[in-house]
Amino acid sequence: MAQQGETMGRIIELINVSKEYLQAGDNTRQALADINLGIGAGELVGIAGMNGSGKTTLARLLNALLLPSSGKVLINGMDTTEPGYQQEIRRQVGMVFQNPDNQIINPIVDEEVAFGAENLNLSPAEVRRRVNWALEAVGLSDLCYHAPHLLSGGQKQRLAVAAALAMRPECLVLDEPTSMLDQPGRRKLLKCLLQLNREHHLTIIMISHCMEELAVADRLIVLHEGAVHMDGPPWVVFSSPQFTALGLKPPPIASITGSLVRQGHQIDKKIVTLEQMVEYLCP
Amino acid sequence: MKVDPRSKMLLVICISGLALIYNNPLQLALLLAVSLALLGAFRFDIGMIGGYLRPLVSLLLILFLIQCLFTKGGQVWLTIGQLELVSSAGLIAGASVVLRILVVVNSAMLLTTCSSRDFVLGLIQWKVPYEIAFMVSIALRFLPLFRDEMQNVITAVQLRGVELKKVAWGEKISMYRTLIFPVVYRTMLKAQQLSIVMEARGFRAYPRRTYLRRLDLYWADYVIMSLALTVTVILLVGQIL
Amino acid sequence: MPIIEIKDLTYVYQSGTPYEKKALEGLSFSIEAGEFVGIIGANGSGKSTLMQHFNGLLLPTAGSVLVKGKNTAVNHYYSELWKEVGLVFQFPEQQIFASTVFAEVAYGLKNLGLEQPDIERRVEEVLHRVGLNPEEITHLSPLRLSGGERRLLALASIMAMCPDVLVLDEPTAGLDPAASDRVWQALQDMQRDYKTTVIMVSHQADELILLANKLAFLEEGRLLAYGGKVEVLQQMARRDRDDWLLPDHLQLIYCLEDCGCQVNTDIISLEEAALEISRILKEPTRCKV
Repeated sequence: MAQQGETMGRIIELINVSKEYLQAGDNTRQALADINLGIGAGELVGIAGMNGSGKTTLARLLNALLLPSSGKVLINGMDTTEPGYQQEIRRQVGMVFQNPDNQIINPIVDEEVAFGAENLNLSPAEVRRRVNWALEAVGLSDLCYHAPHLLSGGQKQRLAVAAALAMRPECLVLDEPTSMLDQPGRRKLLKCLLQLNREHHLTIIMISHCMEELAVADRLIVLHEGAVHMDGPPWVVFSSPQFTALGLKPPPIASITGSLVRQGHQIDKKIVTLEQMVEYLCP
Repeated sequence: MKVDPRSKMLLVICISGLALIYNNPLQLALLLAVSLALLGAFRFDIGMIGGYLRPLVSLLLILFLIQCLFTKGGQVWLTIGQLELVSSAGLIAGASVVLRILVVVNSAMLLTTCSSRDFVLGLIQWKVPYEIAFMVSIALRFLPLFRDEMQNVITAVQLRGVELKKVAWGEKISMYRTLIFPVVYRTMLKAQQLSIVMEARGFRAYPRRTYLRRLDLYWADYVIMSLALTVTVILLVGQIL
Repeated sequence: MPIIEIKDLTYVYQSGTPYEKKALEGLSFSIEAGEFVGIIGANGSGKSTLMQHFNGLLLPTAGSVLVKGKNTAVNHYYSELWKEVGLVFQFPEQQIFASTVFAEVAYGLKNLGLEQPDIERRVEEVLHRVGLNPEEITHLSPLRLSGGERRLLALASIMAMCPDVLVLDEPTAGLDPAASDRVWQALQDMQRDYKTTVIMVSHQADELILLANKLAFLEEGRLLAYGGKVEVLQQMARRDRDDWLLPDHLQLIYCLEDCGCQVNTDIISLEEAALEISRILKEPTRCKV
């Protein structure tokens, strides 16, 4: 499996990482088993897998919300198990979660975004600068003084992204950020994330059930029962029979490309998104 | 005219304090009128008060009856055989208890006229530790969540054909007991998720933190606070003497 | 006689207050018994509000809702409607309150007045129907089940009451393909075995368009289209591209049409779309490629 992070600077490294949970009745559940993974700066990585495959556990390990049972998680060389590094790790790895409502802490949008920066003990002027920049980056500048709970689901998620951005992270981890959004909301969030990745070189790791979203990633990792089963460009992963064997369905466009290739058409195998297909058929 | 939340807090403390000391329904009724007037002055929607107080009605009724029946003295209004049930002292005591609770609840509503963020800032600028002030604001944030979860579960029960209004009291209590568990569980789940988000955003990461906004006291605040304190002290002294 | 008839339905939240909001405006349509109807709309389109009118949880501000010929406003929810129309909200596992799986499913059945042996039989049957194994789980607390299993349990609790109409809001949101398939199968089986009318509310058309007989398209409280799938999908494609609620393969077809390609838009499934693209590739002139 080609590890794309090798040539670029690796900002995240998992070395022989395992995680077990205790369950009722002295049972342990193995959430992750011996994971080895490296993610380079500026990558847009998608993580897919059935429910229970360990995706959420993996996400939480990345910013020291959870610690590995064995093995090491290194963020820019810092070990998450060292207490002294935890705060800096949390600053460098921003997180956005699934439920838009359960991430709102403050009653005004700009204060919500400011929360993280305030916790870093920066000057009020610097906090204000970061708030303005973050809201601009997610397209919510107009709603600066609004009440967060009155925003739409999509806007709330972009607000959560802005709140993470205010801490100037190197990397953003999103755990199923669109599963409670409708299509228009999802589109706007994705557009925002793509822009952050392409223009601001923010490393983005996105967990999702929605294959259409993961199709735009540079790299797709598939987890199954706590182990990494597939890791490569989305078009390679989607077209492999192993993907469906793991209980997942490729996105419609990738299915169409696959069926066209099988029929012998001279179509670019790498087409997995709507934009790519439209561009190809109707430039 | 923007009034600092600290002025409002002082008003609440003064009014509630007086309510705890007064025993006369007349004085308490006056206090209630004052608190309602203040709520109006701070643009609190008086119509909403009904909504807040409705759940308390049965509790207030029970307290009124208990006080009525167990406080004896003065002219007797109702007897059954040899038993004196309701006396004027009882009525006065009952009225006092009800009015006192109403005053405290209404004056606490004053605090909802400022945003929870301002409230926290106000407490912090009065040197209350950040964590405690923050806990208060999060608690305020969770009350509607708790209510939403309760509503969720009640709807679930309605969908299975249970008409809550027609359920007998005994069964209703046992039903609420069963239902309270998922409500508390789900609210705690939300609380846990929120705490994860707070940790991810560096809550208490460093010993000190800055604040985007500052609250400043203006002349209106000084006037309100000094008036409130002066009036309260005068009334307290008058009550003691 | 249609099983559900909606006439000029209008619903306004908190009418008369500053928070007044018109959630539904002038909706009229009817649903025949045994149909599978999909109602598609973005968040805020009024679909959840509409859903609650089907069983009388909400009553119209204007207009009427007739279920089996009877007006829901005549307030017979607790005598009949709750048995005739079963509602499953989004993330129904949030409304589980019993301490065992059995108790959760049996709760509604007890209120229906069934005898214990019948209750046990129905519980077992409905759990099998959703693909859960009764022997393993009836005595367990719902908290011991996985998220997907809890979803199936919540669904089973309403299905067990065998309503004439089943109304669901995004029943497969957040589920794996495997669990989703079990939900679809269970719904289709109900339709086949009990002639249950199924109404599904969703903000994405992907799976719905394959199973439904008819579609309804809701936008900002108004019914913009209702009827055959192809017609409704074509109507949906006339909105702004940014607001499309169509699955990717249909978006592709309509994008190509906008581009000037000669493409057949009477398409619903992924296979048909693939076939159409294949035809376009064989006849490049159709798309000026």
